[in-house]
Amino acid sequence: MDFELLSQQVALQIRRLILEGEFTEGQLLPSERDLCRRFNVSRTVIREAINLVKASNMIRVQPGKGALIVKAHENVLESSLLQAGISSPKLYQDLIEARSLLEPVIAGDAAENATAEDIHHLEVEVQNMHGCVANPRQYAIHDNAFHMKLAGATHNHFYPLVLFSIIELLQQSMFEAVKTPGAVDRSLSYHENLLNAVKTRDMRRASDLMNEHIAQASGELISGSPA
Amino acid sequence: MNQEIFSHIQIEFDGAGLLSQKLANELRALIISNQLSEGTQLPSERELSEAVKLSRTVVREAINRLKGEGLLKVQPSLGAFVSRPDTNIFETYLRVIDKPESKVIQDAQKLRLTLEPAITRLAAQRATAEHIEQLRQTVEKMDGLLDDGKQFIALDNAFHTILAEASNNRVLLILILSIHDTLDKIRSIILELPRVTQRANHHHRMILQAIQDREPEKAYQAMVDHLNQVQDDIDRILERID
Repeated sequence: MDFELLSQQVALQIRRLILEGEFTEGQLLPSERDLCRRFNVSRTVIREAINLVKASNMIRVQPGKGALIVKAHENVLESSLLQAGISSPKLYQDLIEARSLLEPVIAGDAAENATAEDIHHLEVEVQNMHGCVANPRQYAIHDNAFHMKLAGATHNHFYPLVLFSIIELLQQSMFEAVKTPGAVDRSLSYHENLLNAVKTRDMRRASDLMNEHIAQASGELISGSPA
Repeated sequence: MNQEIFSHIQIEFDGAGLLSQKLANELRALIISNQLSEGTQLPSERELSEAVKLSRTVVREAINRLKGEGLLKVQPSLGAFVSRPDTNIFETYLRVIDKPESKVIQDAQKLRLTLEPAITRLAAQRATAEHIEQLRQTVEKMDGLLDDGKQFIALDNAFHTILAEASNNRVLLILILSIHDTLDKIRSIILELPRVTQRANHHHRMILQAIQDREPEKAYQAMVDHLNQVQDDIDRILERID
């Protein structure tokens, strides 16, 4: 098989392992030597494969240290929006509008399709949120994680990808938004209720709660977004 | 290259909407309907500006707009080439997850059912006169292509993209553009059922009417009806395969 094709296939395998969580965010990829052994290919092929994965922004190569896994998904919106050079209040409005269309449906579908394991993941995130009410930035990270877990619980392959792309672009303004007085308390109770709705398979309630939560949070997000 | 296609573009200043936006709409329609296929080089700024009788500034802005949507790639000193937006990310992802095609199709259809009725509702509120005119022309052209599946699909794609553009939400537009390939797959697999194109265009007409009448809820429902029909067709086909 030719070199290029082989590197592409190895790159695809590495991405799959990242997506499936075997190589996890925040950790280093195995060394070039280990990867060679694992995939039974030459060092040149591995280097090219790592370059290909790097192009998707999922890893960041740190000279002398290795390749750090920085995110488990690719952002489907980022490059198009970046090309357009958009970072205006209008973009935030568009992102929030898209999110408010998606998430109530996601919540309803999650209530319908969540497995026991999904519910466990959601519970863990709510616990984590409880643990950082005093630290808005950490809180926002777990808040996002909860929403991603919910998208995963729909078992639709597109929802996590799309939601991730939106959430990631809103992240900065979320960090600001959670500093709004009372925001964390309000948010926490929505998430607890959402978790209950999913547990009791109440699709309608999950969807309605998400609608309210997004409407509430949108106001805070808009004021947290860069002007 | 053949520039005749561009000299048919006629844009007049009517005080409503930016000229660059109007030009971008025209070029987008050519790209999405595949009259300008992927990889085609656009004429130079100067040539294009002569062909469409608009200033170079307007041409440049229109090109930038389409660049932002991923429909053009500009290579310095070479020019602008027709491209496709980030579908490769979805495509790679789909290859990575390695799931049966039927599941991917069902998931894409579900995502679509989440986004498109809402997009159509927004379009009824926000579409410009040009958007509506483009939708009307597309539906009309499709009427003449009911027996030409391939062409019909290209215009069908264009119709749904113009709608997303008319929602005036760039995020929604990019998302719809990103699932083009999967949607085209859906369109082509159901094509073997009888009267698919007739039914689809009937629904397109209902959607167009509601947008023209500025009836957001009617528009929403018309799209739901359209997509439910598609869902029924998909179920029939997938049953056969399974």
